[in-house]
Amino acid sequence: MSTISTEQIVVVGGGPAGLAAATSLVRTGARVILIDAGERPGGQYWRHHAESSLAAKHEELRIIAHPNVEYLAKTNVWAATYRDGVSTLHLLIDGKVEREIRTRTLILATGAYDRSLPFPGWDLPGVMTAGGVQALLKGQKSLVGKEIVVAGTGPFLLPVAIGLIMAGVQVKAIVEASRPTAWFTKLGALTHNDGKLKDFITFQKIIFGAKVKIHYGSAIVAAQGSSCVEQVTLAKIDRKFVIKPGSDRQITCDALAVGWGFTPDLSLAVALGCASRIDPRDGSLVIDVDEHQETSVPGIYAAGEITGIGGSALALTEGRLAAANILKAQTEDLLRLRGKQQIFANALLDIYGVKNGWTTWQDEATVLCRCEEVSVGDLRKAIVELGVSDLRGAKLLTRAGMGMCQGRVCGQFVAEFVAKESGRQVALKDLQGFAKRPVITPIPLGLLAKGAER
Amino acid sequence: MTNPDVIVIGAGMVGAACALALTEAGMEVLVLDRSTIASGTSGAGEGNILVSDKEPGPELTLARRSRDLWFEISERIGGDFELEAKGSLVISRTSSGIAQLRHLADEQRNHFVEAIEVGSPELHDLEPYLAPEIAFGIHYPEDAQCQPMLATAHMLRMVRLAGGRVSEREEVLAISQAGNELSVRTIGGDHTAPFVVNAAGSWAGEVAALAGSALPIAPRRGFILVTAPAPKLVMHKVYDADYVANVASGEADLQSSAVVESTKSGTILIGASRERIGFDSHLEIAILRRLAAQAIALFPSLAKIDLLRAYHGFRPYAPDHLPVIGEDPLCPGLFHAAGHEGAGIGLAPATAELIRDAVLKKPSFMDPTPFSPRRFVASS
Ligand SMILES: Cc1cc2nc3c(=O)[nH]c(=O)nc-3n(C[C@H](O)[C@H](O)[C@H](O)COP(=O)(O)OP(=O)(O)OC[C@H]3O[C@@H](n4cnc5c(N)ncnc54)[C@H](O)[C@@H]3O)c2cc1C
Repeated sequence: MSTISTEQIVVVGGGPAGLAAATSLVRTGARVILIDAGERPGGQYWRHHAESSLAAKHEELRIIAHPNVEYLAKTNVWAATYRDGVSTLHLLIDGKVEREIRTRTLILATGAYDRSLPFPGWDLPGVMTAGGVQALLKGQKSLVGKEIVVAGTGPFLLPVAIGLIMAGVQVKAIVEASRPTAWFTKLGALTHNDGKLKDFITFQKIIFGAKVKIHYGSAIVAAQGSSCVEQVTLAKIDRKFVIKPGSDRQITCDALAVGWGFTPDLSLAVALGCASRIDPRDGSLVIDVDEHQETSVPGIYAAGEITGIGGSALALTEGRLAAANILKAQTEDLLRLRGKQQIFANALLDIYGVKNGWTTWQDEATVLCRCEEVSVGDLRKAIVELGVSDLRGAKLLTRAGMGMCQGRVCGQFVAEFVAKESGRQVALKDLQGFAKRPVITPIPLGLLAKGAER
Repeated sequence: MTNPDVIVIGAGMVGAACALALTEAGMEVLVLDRSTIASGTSGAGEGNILVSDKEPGPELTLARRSRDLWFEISERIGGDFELEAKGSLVISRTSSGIAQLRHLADEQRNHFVEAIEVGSPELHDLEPYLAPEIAFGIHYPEDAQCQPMLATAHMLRMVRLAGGRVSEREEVLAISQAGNELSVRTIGGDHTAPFVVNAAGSWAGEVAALAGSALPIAPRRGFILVTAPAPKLVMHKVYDADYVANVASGEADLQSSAVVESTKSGTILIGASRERIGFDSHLEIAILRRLAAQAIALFPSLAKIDLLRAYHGFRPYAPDHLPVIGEDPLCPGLFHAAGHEGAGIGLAPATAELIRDAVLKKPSFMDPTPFSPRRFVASS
């Protein structure tokens, strides 16, 4: 069951960062094991179906065919430990087979998932994350709905809306929390945009041509429906995300795609003991890396979104940089490029930042933790009556974050709620506690038991 | 600086129960915790309230009293902390195990424990999904459980309502005599009180040392598995008789025997391992595997259920497996309430009663001598 491959470099995550690292590594003759949960490489950003032309465009997507690469698809690292310089990864392949891999050199590029914010009705069927909708478009188109509203914030909303338009879904409105004028203060950063500006202009043209209205400085702050979403409430919000009184109106639809940016997926890195910090730009917990993408744990590198949300171009550079450092290759050009890309990434996060006025959108009945059905009222009661003053207390006394997703969806905003109600800032310890998931993905007990020595 | 009647160090299950008992006796209580409520072992274990795993002796007397007090307290203070007398089913597969289990049950019955022998097919009426080859068990209907974090929080809620104070993030740094009273220095300042209760669980030895005394309390680590929500496969707490032998063992190396039960939220809990390796937080996959295998040996249908999470805690372990309850011989006014190992939840209310009676110098429901700190600390 166990492969001791301390001479091989292991890359976890087949998105841009992981693929770029693997590509740089095998070019010099190194041997790489590349692990990804998906069926095909690409991650969130390069997600594609089998017939897609994407692989022809990016050599990184073709690296899995290289003889020096062992590509493990549909593979989850379900648990991991680090001792004496060696990382041990416990893999669950296709939900059926276990395998153990050990390595002295590990690159973590586990990416990010959609960030959600709770609002009344967000738990109704038909309300989806923007990333979830995009995945459906690339898989089972029919499940999306017929009339959809796309809302939230960030440059990711437009391509999702365009994907929907192309698929023949009626996009009733695009709702963007930021204002285009925000860019005026960031014009300097625009020079480092890597072609993103060109894309943006193309997107705007398509959306204009399809006669879809973009509502800026606005948000969908509620959804209503009996068994499924039937209408949503559109409201203007101020710069702090507080609803402007009297500005709300209803839009009928049968689906809502919401995206509030991304949350880095740190479970594996945290399990291995990598130090983390709060990214002041968006309040996310991210992995702390040095100039060379190395984490606090020697031999473990991190690249891409888990070191701070930055997009695919920056992720590619970080992956290459991690590889270059492992190979002791020259890094000056990459460092310079990364610096420029970071300027653009910072500007994006600033403009499309989530402001904590969203904590005024809920009523007492609004569900915070969907898995365990914990409402705002439940949490407030625990805070007021039982003296909950931190995230751990909230979890233990209300069960928020204990369900199937293990707090991946609600962790950050429950933390913000508790912090606000108890008059303090979200503490690093709060978020770190939530990110600690010794069992990273579920594994059948029968399979686990098979490995028990008798 | 504050002047309460009594200072309780530690806001875990034991500290909360002591604070409640002392509050109900009319005292003004200050509870100090260096972190938050139930942030120690009480928030990292299970909530079994067991009589079944206790051999006749002082601990069984404490356990029986405590079990009854749990239901009285629940009635009195309200608030839902999921208290339920679900009952246990203890099984054995080997003839020697069966003989031992029968013997234990006989003795327990002599001490008024309800212990009902069940064979096949009644066993499988009680537990339809139990492995079919298992043919012997003892049913202990009195065994109960609660949700310890909620229980701790609800007891402290009552303390606050009665005018007591619970101060979180206030670590105790020193304890000294100040005239007839004790002075407790914390990171927040000084407090004085005639009585101080050390309910610092696995850290009680360190707190005793702050007062110039000593207690040999060490951590005994335990892992617990939690499954994804599943259909109700387990009706009682079910465990193999090996467990009783593990609890009583002093071996430092790993022991485990799965105790399996369903929870209200639909998950299944599988606990717990026991090992003495200090405060080591490294995940040990081998332990998870072993617990899974043992649980499946009891309930084969668990094989298809997903493990969702695993966590561990550090039981406060005393070398002779008895809690330390009573006044410190070297530091008058300091009362210890610690070292309950794997039974601190179950034993908390009766422990609190002994502490209350010792503080008030009143006779109690049992002779507390077997729990006295004097067995470790000789008076000077
Ligand atoms: C895996 C596992 C399963 C278990 N299952 C059960 C079970 O089913 N039934 C059962 O009865 N028991 C069970 N236990 C045991 C039970 O959890 C413990 O016996 C009990 O929680 C001990 O409670 P406590 O209040 O003494 O300690 P704790 O809950 O640890 O509280 C001690 C408190 O003291 C505080 N503290 C420490 N030092 C200081 C200081 N210097 N200043 C201020 N504060 C300080 C800590 O922050 C902590 O909050 C289990 C334990 C484990 C690990």
